[in-house]
Amino acid sequence: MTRTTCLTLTIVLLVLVFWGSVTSASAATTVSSFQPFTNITVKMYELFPNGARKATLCSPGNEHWGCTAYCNDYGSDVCTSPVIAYPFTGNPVTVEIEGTTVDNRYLRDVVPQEMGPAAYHPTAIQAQAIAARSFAYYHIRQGSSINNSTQYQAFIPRKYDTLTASQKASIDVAVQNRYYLSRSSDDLPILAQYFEDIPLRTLYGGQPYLLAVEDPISSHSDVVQSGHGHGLSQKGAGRWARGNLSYNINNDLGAWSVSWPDRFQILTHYYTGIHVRDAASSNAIQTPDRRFNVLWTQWARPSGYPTGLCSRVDLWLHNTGTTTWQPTEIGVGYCWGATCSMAGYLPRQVIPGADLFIPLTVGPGSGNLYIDLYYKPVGQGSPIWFGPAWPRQLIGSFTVVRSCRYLPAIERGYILAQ
Amino acid sequence: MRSISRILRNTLSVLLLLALAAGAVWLITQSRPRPAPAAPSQQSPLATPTASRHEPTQAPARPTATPTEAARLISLCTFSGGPAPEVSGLSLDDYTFSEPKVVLTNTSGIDIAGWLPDGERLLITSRDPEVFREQIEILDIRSGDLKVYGERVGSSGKPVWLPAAKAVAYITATDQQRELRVSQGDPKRIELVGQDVNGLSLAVSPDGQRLIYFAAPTGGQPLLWDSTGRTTQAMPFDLNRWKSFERPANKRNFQSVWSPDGSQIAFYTYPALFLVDGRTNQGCEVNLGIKSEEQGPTWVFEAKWSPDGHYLAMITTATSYPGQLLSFTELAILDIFTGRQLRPKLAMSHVWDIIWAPDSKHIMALGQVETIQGYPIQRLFLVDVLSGDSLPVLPEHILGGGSSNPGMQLAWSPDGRTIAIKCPLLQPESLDMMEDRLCLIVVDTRP
Repeated sequence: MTRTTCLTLTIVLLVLVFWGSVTSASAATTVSSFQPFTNITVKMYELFPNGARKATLCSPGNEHWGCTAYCNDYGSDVCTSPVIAYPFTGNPVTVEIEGTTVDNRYLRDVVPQEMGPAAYHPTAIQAQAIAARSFAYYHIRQGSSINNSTQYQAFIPRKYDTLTASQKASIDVAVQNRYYLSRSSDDLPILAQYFEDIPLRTLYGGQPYLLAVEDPISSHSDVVQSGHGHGLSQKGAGRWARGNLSYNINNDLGAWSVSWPDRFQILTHYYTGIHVRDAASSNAIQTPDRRFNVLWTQWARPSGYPTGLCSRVDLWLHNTGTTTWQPTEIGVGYCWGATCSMAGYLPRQVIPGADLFIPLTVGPGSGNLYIDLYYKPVGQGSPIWFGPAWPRQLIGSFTVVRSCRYLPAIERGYILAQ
Repeated sequence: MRSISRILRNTLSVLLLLALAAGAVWLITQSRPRPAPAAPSQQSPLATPTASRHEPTQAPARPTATPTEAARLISLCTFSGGPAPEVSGLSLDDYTFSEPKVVLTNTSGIDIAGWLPDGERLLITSRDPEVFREQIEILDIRSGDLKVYGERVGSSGKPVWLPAAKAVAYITATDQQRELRVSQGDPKRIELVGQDVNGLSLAVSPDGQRLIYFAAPTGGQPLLWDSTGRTTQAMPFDLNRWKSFERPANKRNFQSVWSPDGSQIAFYTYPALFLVDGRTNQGCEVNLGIKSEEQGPTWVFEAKWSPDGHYLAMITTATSYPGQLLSFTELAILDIFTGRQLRPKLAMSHVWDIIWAPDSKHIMALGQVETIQGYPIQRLFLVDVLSGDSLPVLPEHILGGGSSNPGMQLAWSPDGRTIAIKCPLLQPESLDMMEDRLCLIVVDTRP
């Protein structure tokens, strides 16, 4: 082998290695393997009022529930008046997932049936819309024989038309982005299962992103399990969006200590280690890798100290991100307004989907108090805060909180302010 | 004087000490942390608000209405007692049921409206497989003869038999409204009885002569059609004025059912159940309570009187907003004498159909026990009303379903000997209907 040949081979090898490293590094983030669908084909059945299908397929002229929301076979609490028959000429039907017209739309009829805007908070409906789109994508890709029953998603033609103008606007907002859910490792849609309700904790659904997660906001004695318990709890989502023990915007069962104003907070809570992607923008990732949710908090004054002295915040944190929190890298802090302070590293490792109960002593300040996490490997310089790429958790608004320095160490918890 | 001042001084000192002690207690109390929540991994960290659960009024007799306090409100029913319910001479085990026998098939759909009083004929509806039309027919189960009484576009509720007129009354949809029609068996001579009909409910009086229905112009005022005089008159009350309904006016469609002795008429809609005295037209509301704060008020999906008029059996559910998918339906039985509401627990998530046994002590319930490929698998259960016990009936059979209009899947003959039930033939894989079928089950009881 000549020297020139050797050099050429070395260059080729280097180029190959470089190319390989470039492609493998970008595969998870930029190379798109999934082409989002625009249409969905659905086999249409008459339905029972619980969304289960009857054995009869819809045909033109059919005025039964399932074939139309303006039906005539059930009372006024199922059917809307006046009667308007099945709007399609055939069966199965192929409609646009994002469509807007009565005989050519899917999500606009699915979302309000699955989560009625008369009772659910808009943020919960936005989360539901993304889950519903992901669920549809998944089954289309799987080649499933999709039907309009709750075996898949309740698709009742004309459902959108039964809504008030403000409710329609709420649905329009919820479906306006073509966001869907994928695993962190690729851009393929996940099986975004959802169900009505479950107390305290969801159930494992057989997928790495359908882990059982703590759901302490669903703790009222009225909460009973309804549905399979895998993935997003619809009523749970409604409760988190409101920060109330009731999912229903017309009902108040008592305030919860936190609320989640961002739909991504709800989705990453119920689906573990996922990303939200934009199907309208080359499946671009919309969520950061490092994320957290506060499941519960309590503002507790240490024993023996009067109002306004030093305070401790008990936190129940949930790792909703795609990476494990290492105790030598991830810390928790607090922000008075936009000014954040590190409080200390986490006491232990927390994998995605797991949670951690931790007390935090807050330093002096006033105004809005937020909780945020930061990434700062031991020995490195400035912390990289999770926010504002991820929503900081508002704890409350406080007039004044003064120094903690006179507190006994035992009261400060094991994370000391500054 | 000195002693007085000493007493005064001592008293003031004691008062001062008491005040200081009270202040100290207050300070200690205030400085204590608020009660900590439960451990996060356990129960609710917040206090559970009280949800006032309304228990049904339990008092003695047929419901009587106390005078209404306001023109738009009606009082709750009070029950003044009455005969104690008799324990059935039959136990659940005393019933035997034959294998279902197919007596009629139709490729598109058959539904059962009920038996005629002779116990030999069935009022049914069957769909035309080619066009979406429905025929209203009477099937003679002995001869197999079918007699067409009417035809309608789509399906618009359960037709009823009017014994006095020997006719069938049914609702049908026209272009913009619904009509009430009566047929004596000649499809070419159909009588138009009412126009602009609201809802799908028809209730026949026990004498088989009168019919209750609703129409848009009279709203919540039921209309009473007399088949003898061919006259219609509005009943002297407006159900919509008896309660402040949350739902828009055009959605308040009532259903009604007349008790076998004519003494009571039950009217129900979301979320109200009214009982009206059939003679005085005095009404009252039955408190069904709320299922829970999260699930919403209980309301009646379907109601049927026991043959002796002692009970009103109901399929109840709870929803928080219109159009919500029903997460459950269950059987509830109102004792019309005591007001007691019985709720037998059945091994099904949804009860879809109920029928009374002729002895008024047992109910046959048909409901969903599971779903396969989204198709609800329905099973039959025989329920003892008083004990709440139930027994699966023909558990190896999947019955009901098919096209199935609500409340039209089964009927028990007046003599108690036969149950008519839907028994569609399904494709094994897709569970789509290949053929709808009507079956008869012979019922026998041990003496």
